[in-house]
Amino acid sequence: MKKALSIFILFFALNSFQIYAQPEHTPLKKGFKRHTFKIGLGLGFEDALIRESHIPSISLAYEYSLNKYFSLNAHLFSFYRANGDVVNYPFKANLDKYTNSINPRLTEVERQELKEKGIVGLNGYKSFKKFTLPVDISFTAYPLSLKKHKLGINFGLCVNYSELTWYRDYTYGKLTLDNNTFSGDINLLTNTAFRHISGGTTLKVLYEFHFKDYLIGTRMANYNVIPIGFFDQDLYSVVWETSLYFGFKF
Amino acid sequence: MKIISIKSGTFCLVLMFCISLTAQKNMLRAELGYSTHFAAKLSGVNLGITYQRKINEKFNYSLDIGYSFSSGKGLLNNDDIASKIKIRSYLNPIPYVATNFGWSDKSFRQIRLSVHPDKQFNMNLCNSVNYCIAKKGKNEFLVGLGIALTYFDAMSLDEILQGQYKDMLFDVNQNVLLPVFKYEEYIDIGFLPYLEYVRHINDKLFWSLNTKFGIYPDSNNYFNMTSVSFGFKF
Repeated sequence: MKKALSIFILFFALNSFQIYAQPEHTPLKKGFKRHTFKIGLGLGFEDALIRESHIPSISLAYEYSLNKYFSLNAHLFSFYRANGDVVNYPFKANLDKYTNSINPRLTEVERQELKEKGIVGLNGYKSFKKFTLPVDISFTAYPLSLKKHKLGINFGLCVNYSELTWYRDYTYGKLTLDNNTFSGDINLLTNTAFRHISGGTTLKVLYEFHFKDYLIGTRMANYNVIPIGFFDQDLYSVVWETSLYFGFKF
Repeated sequence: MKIISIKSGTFCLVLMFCISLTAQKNMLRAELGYSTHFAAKLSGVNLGITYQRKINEKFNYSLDIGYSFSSGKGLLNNDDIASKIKIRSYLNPIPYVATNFGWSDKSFRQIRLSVHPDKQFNMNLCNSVNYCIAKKGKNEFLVGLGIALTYFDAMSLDEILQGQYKDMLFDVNQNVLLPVFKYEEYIDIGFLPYLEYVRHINDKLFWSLNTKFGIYPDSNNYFNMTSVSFGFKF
């Protein structure tokens, strides 16, 4: 990780040096605005579309233009998804009374109460919930930069905060409650929740249409998230995002 | 009895948006802040995007989309930390039985189990009208009232059962605490009164500090979102 960070910083340093060492080759137009603030709305996906999300992702970004072709960026993106567990458990809890307790289901009474209140869209099966908030610092190159059109590629490092809840494991056995209300064979699921900070890389391809003070753009982004110091296939995730954004130059 | 039905609420949202089309100036801003849910005792982060149009000198219309993700301890007290809820790493093939072999805290390097089992995600689509009650120089103070269509996705620790669990494979008795979770997902309409302080940086840029109160009597949700926002006018 440290090595990757060093290479990244060195790369930036070299790039900045190159740009400022040859100002005559990249003259900036009068009125060139270096700062851009971007607000975007889009959709996030997990890799291979295993878990899709119907909740729009929100992204905020700040861009500092070094010149017409290169810029530095700070970018925040949030992505929430809730799904049923993909895992098929071989055994189900075999007593109805406790099925609701052990599995994520509401009772009929609770359902009816909520429906009477006019609350719709009941679904008690979304036990997998994940909130991801990656922040990245990245570098953008615009190999195609025309008067109004810009096509860019962005890459950088990200730090990712995420909260994850799901059923991670299960065992099959006999449960006897201390208050003697239940004794029987069940499939004991362990609901597990993590909060962790991880590091990763990001790669984005973007197209922008520029006005004098504003821009409209679309972006396809990829985040490879690897928990720092720990590699586990369930915590490692690849997240994709596609969004439309609006930017203001100042 | 439901105070506002989903249909009439949606009609109000559309009507307010149509009125706003007569407006002249546009603003767009991004919000980042802290949310607190009073009834469920949760707290967390909120993010949002607001589009605002000026109707006249005193009134503005806003359309915002935003969400908050909050969590809380719920029924867990300090003694019930997640050490009772064991997990197995995929690197660890040994099942959990009476011994903790391979299941020590070191199994959870760089990860801490959540001590916040109650979680709530809500996404708001809010239409609001605000009124400027004071303006002096670059400072502006506004009050507003919005109607919000909100999607809630919540889970909470409903009960903790205590018992004896005998593993079928190893036939060993162990004391267990069994967390019982309740899941809810629904859409509701509520009111969103708010206060806002705006500081205009120049003719194009501004930042603001705002606090919103979400009131959803039907689903018993009451929350506050306090955010800092940065935006531009066009």
